[in-house]
Amino acid sequence: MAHSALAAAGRDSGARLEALLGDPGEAANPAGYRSVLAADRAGVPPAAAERLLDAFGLHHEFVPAGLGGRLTSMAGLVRVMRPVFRRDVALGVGYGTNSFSAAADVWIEGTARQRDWLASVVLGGGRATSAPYETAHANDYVRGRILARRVPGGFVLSGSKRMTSNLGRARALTLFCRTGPGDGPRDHSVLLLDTAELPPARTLMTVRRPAVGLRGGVYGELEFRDCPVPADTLLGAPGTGIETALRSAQISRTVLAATVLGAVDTGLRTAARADRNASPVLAEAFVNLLLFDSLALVATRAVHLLPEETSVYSAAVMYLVPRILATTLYDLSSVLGSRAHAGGGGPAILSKHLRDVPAVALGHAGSLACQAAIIAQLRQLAARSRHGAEPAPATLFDPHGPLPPLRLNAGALALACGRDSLGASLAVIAEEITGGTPTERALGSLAAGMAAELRDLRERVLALPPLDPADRAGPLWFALTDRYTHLLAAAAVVGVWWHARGRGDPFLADPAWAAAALHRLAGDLGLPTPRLPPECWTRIQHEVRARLVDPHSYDLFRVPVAG
Amino acid sequence: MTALAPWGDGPSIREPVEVAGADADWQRPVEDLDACGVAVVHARLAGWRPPDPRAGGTELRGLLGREWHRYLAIADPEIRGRFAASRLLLKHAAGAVLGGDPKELELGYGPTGRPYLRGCDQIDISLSHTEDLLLVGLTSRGLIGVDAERASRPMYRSGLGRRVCTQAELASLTGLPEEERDAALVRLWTLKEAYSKAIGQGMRFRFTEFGFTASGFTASGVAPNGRPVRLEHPDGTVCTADEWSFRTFAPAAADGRVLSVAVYDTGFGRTTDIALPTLLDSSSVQAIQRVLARTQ
Repeated sequence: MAHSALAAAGRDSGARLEALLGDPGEAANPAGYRSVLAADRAGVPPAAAERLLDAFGLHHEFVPAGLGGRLTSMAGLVRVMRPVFRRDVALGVGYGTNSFSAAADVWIEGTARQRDWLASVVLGGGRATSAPYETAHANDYVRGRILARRVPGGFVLSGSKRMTSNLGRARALTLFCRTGPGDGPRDHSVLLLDTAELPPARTLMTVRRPAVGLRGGVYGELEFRDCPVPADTLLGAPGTGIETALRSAQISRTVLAATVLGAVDTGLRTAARADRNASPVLAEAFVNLLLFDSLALVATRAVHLLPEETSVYSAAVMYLVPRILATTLYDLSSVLGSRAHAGGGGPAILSKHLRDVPAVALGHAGSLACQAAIIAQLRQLAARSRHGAEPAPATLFDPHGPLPPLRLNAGALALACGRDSLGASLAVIAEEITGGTPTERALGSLAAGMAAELRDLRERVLALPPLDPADRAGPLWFALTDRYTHLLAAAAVVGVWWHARGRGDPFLADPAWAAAALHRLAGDLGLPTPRLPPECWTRIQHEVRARLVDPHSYDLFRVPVAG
Repeated sequence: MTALAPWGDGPSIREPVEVAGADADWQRPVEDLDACGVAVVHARLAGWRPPDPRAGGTELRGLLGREWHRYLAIADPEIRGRFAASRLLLKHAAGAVLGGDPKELELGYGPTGRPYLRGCDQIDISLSHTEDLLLVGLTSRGLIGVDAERASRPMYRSGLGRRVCTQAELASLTGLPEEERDAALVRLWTLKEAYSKAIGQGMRFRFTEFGFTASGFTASGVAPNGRPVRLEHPDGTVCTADEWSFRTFAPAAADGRVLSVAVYDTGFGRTTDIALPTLLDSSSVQAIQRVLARTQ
């Protein structure tokens, strides 16, 4: 373990967990690459690594402090989960985010009794899981519908969900089911079920093995055959299932997207260690990590600072997981060649991350769900921004800034508000950037291009006929939403760099990474991409090397890592 | 719950089908995508190259969309024609399999020039051209890369093998009768290109870093002997990458060209539907819009 990791260990739980999980390259480490790769091949969770997390009490991090746990901020949760995802995405999801996502439904919508019960389950080492409702263009991970018929004293459940995470070992289940006649916005409800109380004769659980990604995860098909459940299982008001799902997704998407970045940090470290040709891919990958983390930071901090806007930022950051993070892993695989597919430890962790990272985003169905959350308010967002919206506060962009208390409730987390302070910040900051050095000038011109593209997007959205959700929304809406998510990432980059100037981290204050990040995003958007000054890339390459030699994370936080 | 048949048995990648022009019959590619999650089409440049835009370009402008100005800026008429033809083929093929208007689709490009449908990730696409042949691959399984080359290209004789082959591949090429080596190398080359394009790397991925089953193919260099084509380490041992499928074809209609296809299955299983008209999750959109209507 790196000495600096130990030194930092006393301070926060992320550093303590990183130190506890230790050097992932060590063959005997139960949370090391060799161990998690063996579990992946066997199709089972890495038991020894899970015991380490048990000993650490990671599950306490998922329960709000007010209910006896250690959860006080989204930023803290992301910090403590990244070390897990650096080693094993399946472990991070199976042990952590899956339970947290299901629990978030309850923290937000539950009665005092329901929240107390779930807190006691999770704090006692039990798990929670969720069976979401079937969204558009469903795949195996989303498919399946449960019907809940109202009967005196409760409900009778029928139907099945094909892939439910941790089925058989999760005590609590948030079940999204249809309680209305159709697929309207008030036709779904959520039930909070104690799986230990379900009548076995009416509940079938069949083990399902994931084909490619998250092979070490436990999944099962859940089928109800006229299964009675009591009325007090209802979570939230009847007919509010879709709203609960949307609200909870604002939290779970943000945490999952922000933490899965850890796997790509490992990918970069692995490739940098193996690199023999000073590949330019390494610096590009680091830039991609920083640009993704900029939006992840904004989405995470927005839960505290701008909770009514998180519907947009959480959907955008999750939408970009396959586009920025998964593609970066492929870029890094070009450095390793076929070594990335070798069976043992070391470089082989990259091929596992290559399979696992796209899996957390749920493919096309996942993209559509994120796009729908934005498309539903895109017109209002465009209309509001036309009149010069208020930019975001500087603290939204500060990786180390204090946060107001976390409010996980339906009142704080609006389904939508039609406001985008992040985009407004881009417009304001882009006007103020004055370039002294060639890199600053390049950054200024790229930022101005992004601001112009955001204005153009606004006009294109307003030129479309208003959206009729009952009618079809053409692919144009989806293409514009894709552009918008990239522009939000650009806005986050500009904001993080702008507010880092003159602060503690000289690398973040340097325009090099921000210019390179906007350059990459401009390419994604099909905008002009003038060549960046060579010193810009030199600065970034130097930082990649520095964080390899003295192991520090490849993200905005630059925390010590164990190797 | 919607009942869905699993992907069909048999080859996961069917022989590429020729599409003469925009008004071609798209039934085969639509069926292929439905049955296997993969469709590959090839075409001749002449059938897809649009007439000069100055002779009435409204239709073309609509189809090229945001790429119209990029198209006009290409000085060389040959390159300009190919640019337009390949985009038209991509958009028409995607529109056909997704049941939508090609004009509504927007193409984006990754850092190495890899095309994709912006905002519509139910299918991945890949494009290749050699001489007057255009090749397009589409998959709903995950990632796809395609590549085409003339089978008779004297690749081995020109010494390219040493620059692009692994030790194991070189050894099996040397073991072949001399007259078969060129075709065998062309096949390996197109497989490497297809794989590298599928993962968005293009020429960035060093071809000597990974290989393919080199032996056991007939003199044409294209007909597998029943063994699946596998990704190999430089020493010829098989990589543990089961989610990949590779095929090489030499259909008569491709007139001496070899067509290779690489497909990655992300493992999400079949998607209930990939059609463009059903993209929007209307229940969540309605829930959000109800809230917006109340607050504004």
